[in-house]
Amino acid sequence: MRLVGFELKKLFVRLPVLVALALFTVFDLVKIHATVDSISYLHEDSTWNRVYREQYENYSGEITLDKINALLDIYKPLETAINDLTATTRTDVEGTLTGNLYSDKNLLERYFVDPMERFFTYKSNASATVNAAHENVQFYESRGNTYEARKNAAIAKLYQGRRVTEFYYTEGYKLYLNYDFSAILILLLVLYALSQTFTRDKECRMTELLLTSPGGGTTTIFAKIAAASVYILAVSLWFSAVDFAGFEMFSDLTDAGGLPVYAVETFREASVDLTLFAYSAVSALGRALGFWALGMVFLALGEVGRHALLPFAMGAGAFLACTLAGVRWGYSSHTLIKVLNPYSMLVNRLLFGKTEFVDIFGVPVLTWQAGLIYTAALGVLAAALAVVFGGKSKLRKGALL
Amino acid sequence: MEIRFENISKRYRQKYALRGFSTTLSSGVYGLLGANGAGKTTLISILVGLVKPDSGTIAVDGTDVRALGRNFLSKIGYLPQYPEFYRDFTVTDFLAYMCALKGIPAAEGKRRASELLDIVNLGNAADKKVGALSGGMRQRVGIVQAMLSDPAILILDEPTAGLDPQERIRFRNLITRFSKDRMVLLATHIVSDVEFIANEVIILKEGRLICRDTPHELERECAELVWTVTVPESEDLGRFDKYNISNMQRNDAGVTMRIVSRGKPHPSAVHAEPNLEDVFLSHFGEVEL
Repeated sequence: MRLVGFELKKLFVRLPVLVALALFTVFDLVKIHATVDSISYLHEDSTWNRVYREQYENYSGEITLDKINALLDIYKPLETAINDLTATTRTDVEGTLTGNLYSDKNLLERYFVDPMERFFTYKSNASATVNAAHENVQFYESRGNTYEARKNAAIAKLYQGRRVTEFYYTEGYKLYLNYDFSAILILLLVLYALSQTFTRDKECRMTELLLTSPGGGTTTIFAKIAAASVYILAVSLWFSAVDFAGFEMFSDLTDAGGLPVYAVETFREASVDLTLFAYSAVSALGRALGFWALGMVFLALGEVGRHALLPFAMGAGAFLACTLAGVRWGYSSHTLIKVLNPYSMLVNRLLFGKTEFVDIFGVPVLTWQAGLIYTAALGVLAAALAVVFGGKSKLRKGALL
Repeated sequence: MEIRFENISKRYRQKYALRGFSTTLSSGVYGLLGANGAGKTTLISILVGLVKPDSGTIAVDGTDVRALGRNFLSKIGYLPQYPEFYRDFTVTDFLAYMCALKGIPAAEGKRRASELLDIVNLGNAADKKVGALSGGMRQRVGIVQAMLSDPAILILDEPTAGLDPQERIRFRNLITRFSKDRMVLLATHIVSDVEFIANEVIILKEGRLICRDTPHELERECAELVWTVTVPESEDLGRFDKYNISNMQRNDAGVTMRIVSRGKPHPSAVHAEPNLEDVFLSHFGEVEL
């Protein structure tokens, strides 16, 4: 444990790393603000914001027929007038919410009618999915296609009983769950610190001392791996917390935290049945696991070269390749490629946001489950390679250890 | 404790760095002398396990060091050549880290580090960053880390590089104090480092052990080779280029030279009291004797 503490101090608790961490935290918050500002129409001090807050009081909470009818009573006449092309374009119309009929219609549609409709109809859509899945099970069983039958049975089980019974503001979560900028910041911090894990000993001409100390061989490598793991998990979880706090601060995440994750438009087909708050935590842990696995790969690469530049370049190159593959196949139906690409665990809505399976010896496994197992295995394998490479380089040099 | 080297050889490509090295060391201070490239660092690297010999064995009290593995490492304190250490660690942190590496309990390590820092006159620099230390101070930190575990065998590769004269004297006294019932192997090409403290001197040349004896005996053996001669300023000094001149000094009488040579270099030359530097020059001088 003492060695792990020293390795942490030696490699990560250093001024350049801490300064970068502080600066990146500020960058992240600025970027979150810019993201919210550019996508949401509910800017602070805007008319839409004021009107939204007034109307939100009326419609938030449990979804009831009374609320739906009250909303449609305002919305339908606006829709009719605009469709008839009889609505005025004046911006000072009395009796309207924002002063303009088009603006009223758009605001209600975007922030109340569409989400409320989506929530309200989710239960029936999920039921339809369950029924279709049951039918598929029978069909595939009759054809002897065990894999598809199992897959549909899993879908039926997953969607059984899904419903959204409450209405809350979910735009904040939609932005938060689709936000990836902090992943780049984490990556840079991980690459910067980890690329020096082994080369720093070489640069400081400490290798000889390490190799001639009783705890300096494999014990030190294990200590480095443990320290690197602590650092990666800490940095990744820190930025997940900053992301969450940032979106909570500039948008709003509190109210909708108890809604199911599939209440968010982009997660309608989510492969997990968790609340948004719980999913945020799971997603953060998944991302931390992804970075840990990549970090272990960087560590294994860190044995290459005498200076930190080569492992840094190789790590950055590997990440770029994963990113390009993720962009190319992340939203495709090539589920196996998705699972095998570590990028998918960093941007894990690719795995959690859609119900998809991979065929593992005839057993349908949800992509996020396969992804978690694969990523953990990749990390363990890379860590083992770091130990082996470390050991081998020493064996090449020495004979007695 | 006894270390027995048996026919150790190491070759890099076609060049032998060490060739058939055999000797036995017990307690005491051993000075490993040789010119640059003589094989000193290779020998030490093989001893501490950093380099694999092409042939030969090393046994500690009759047991092969390969069989001892980590047990052997726990017996040694080692200072490599040109250490730099972690620049952003304080001296205290660095020594605490080395204690952790050597398996020394934290409290004991702290006490030991403090004692040793005082001995090498670095007590006031304990909280300084390693990167802020001068070369000599860093070298002293290196000596401290080598002695932290109170090792039975202390192996120092060019330990006085960067030390000023006062620090060298302090270092020599420290080694003498430390060497009681222990083995100290001190590789250097600075003769004065070992002249006064080594019980025995091992001289390596082109990877071979060419002699091993006490400094006094080595000096006695080359007594017939050391001359001193004073010539007037008007004399052509170029005629002495064919000799190994260990020292030249201008004075009122002309130029006084100390020469290592088999034959009398000048009619007025007389024998001088030999020292270890003369021994070194007799083996490594530019002119073959």
